[in-house]
Amino acid sequence: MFDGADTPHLDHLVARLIERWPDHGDYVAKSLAGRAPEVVSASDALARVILLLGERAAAGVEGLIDDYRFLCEKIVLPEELHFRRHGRYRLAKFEDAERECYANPLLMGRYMNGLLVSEAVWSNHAHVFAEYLNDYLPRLASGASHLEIGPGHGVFLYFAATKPGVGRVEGWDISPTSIAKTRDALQALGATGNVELRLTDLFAAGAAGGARFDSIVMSEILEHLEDPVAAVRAACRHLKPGGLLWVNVPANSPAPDHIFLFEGLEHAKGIVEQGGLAIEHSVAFPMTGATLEKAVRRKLAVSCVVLGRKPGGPPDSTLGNH
Amino acid sequence: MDRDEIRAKVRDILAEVIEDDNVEIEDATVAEEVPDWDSINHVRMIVDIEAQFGIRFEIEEITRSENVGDLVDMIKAKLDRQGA
Ligand SMILES: C[S@@+](CC[C@H](N)C(=O)[O-])C[C@H]1O[C@@H](n2cnc3c(N)ncnc32)[C@H](O)[C@@H]1O
Repeated sequence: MFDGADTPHLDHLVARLIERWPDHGDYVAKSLAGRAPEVVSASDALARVILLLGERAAAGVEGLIDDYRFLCEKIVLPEELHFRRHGRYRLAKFEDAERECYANPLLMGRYMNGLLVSEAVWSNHAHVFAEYLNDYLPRLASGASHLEIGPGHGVFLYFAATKPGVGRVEGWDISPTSIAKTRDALQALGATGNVELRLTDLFAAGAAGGARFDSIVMSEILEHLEDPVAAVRAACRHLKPGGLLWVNVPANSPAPDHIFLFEGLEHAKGIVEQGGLAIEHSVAFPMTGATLEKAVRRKLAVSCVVLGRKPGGPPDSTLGNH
Repeated sequence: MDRDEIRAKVRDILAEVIEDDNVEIEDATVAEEVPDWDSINHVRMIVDIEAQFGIRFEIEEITRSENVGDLVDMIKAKLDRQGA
């Protein structure tokens, strides 16, 4: 399907998706068209995992695809309409997002399944995932301890947990559904050994254990919080001096549980900096079908990746020098 | 406002949203035939139609219209109901 690239899992997932939802074919073709080989191979690695998880689920791969369609049409579209009409997200309070989503197993389960499929299908998500796999994970030194806050479907965490040489791995999430999904995914994929999962609010996690992580990932969570600077600071307390925080946050991207409107990459970098980190690297990926320039001009969704480092690491630290 | 006037205005709104001054539509045109008329641009177009015609769509109506003719009919019905 892609020039010279061997991507059996992605090809298979895409074929099943289009068979189930033929009208989505043009969108998918457009999304796949602009991907560089290293992005395509990351999407293929992800598609392999999506297919494995789908085959083990009661509703099968088709169930995951139906949940993805539900995400596009029933979860995101109404929010998109609200956002375009009013220029802001529908909800602004964390407790409302918690009630509508995190504490609503039926919706949350479908939402996270749909989001998982979107990681391979939506252009911005696929590029972010490739960035995580190809740029971020290789930065972790052997033995690095790693935490993901808000793992949701659990698949980012799975790839960290199975990185050769990685140390202890934790996942914290406020949603019982997300913790269960992450646990099930790790179990189904045979990657539970070094992973501990905790049902907790990031802000309630306390400082017990001290600054013990070399790496923290916050992917699609800062936009869910009323005060993202406070969230970065709270995460930072668990980071060792010199440790890395990898943030992925979508700008202009409405969803029922998005309450803080990020306006773009500079905004996201500013928040990470205000949270006390030095920016090491940053990159933005536009939604399917738009160039970055057009997405910015038209306030379309852009995924922003910001890598920050907590000041004060030992001068001979190898973490991050790749 | 008659159907031709409504369709012409819809065309201008679509042209602005997809950034293509030369786009041409007729009643039988479907979104899939027009490059860049994807779901997000559809939502943006609907919101501009709402603002310019002074009408409001229900979420189900947004996905329901099969082609441009349906959309024009829907707009006309809303305008007629308002006595415009
Ligand atoms: C959109 S999902 C992100 C899933 C995954 N990281 C990804 O990027 O696809 C957001 C997750 O953050 C969790 N979350 C939201 N607020 C939280 C908080 N205050 N503390 C911990 N987890 C939170 C939600 O329950 C949900 O599982």
